[in-house]
Amino acid sequence: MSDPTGQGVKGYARALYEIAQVEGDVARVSDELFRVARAVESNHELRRALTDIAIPFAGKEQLLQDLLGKQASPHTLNAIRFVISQGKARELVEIADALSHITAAETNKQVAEVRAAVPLSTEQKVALAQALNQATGYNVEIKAIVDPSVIGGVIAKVGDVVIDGTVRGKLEQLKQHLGT
Amino acid sequence: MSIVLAAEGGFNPLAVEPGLYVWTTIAFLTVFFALAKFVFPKLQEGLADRERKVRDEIKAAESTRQEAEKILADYKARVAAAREETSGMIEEARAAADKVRQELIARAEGDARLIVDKARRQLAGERERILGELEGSLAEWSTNIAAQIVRKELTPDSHKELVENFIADVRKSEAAAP
Repeated sequence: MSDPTGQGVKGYARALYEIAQVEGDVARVSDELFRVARAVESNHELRRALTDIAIPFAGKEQLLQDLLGKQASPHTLNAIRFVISQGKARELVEIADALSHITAAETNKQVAEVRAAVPLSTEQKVALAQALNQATGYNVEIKAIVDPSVIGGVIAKVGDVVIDGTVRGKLEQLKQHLGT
Repeated sequence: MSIVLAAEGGFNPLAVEPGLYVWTTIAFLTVFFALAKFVFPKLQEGLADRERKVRDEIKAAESTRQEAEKILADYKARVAAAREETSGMIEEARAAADKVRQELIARAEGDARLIVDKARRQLAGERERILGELEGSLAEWSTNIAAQIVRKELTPDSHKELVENFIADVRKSEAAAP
């Protein structure tokens, strides 16, 4: 069923936040769920496996266990299981993003979605968070995503503000210039 | 046989006999008066009737001839008028046909101009579209090739430098704050 207003997504995200808060693991669950969402977003096979109604719930559960069992917290795995068991696997990415925003908002922070071609070091994340705090006026929480499609550099999205410093962005500008 | 008898002292038809002469004259006059009294008037009347009828017929024929001439003249006048009228109508029809022809030619020329203009515009639009597509494709290929080259050339150090440059640029861009 479609959810044009996003109320269902926000409702599930709020429920996951409440559960994680009770479990005392909000930050980790939110961060891991955000990473899982990025993996689902970029991996077509994984997305299809989680959303295919022909695959039974037990099969999806086993797949999640194999992929995340050793890396993610049990609370994160439970949260994903809950979403899939409710038939909301297609909205997993939106729910994870909404959870990130709720978590950041509850701690007076704003999520900064940062994409780079290579993993950012801790120092780079700290420096980038400081720079984004200064530039946007928000208290940002960095959510770093490794995205080889940006080729090089970084693109940061904080709320409605997008700061593009990627090679892909510069090539796009060049393409626009050549195309006109 | 009788001729022989007369010559021999019988009846002579050429001999004048007074009695016969008188009687013959009386008979003649009697017949004549009878005819004059009863027959001649009738004959005279018949002839007069006949003459009157002939005169009437001649008069009627004359009248008919005059009437025929009058009808003929009238007919000729009508024919002439009709001919004149027909001639006028032909002229009018010819003028109308000429006007229609001129209008059709003008309309056809206008339509032809429109078609040519439309074809030119379509051609120009198509040319612009193809050029645009070519430019777009060229830009796409160029940037794809550039992306592949840059991707190969980027080292961990250059990635690090790009990230640090980005952080430095963000620090400078306080203006981007909402």
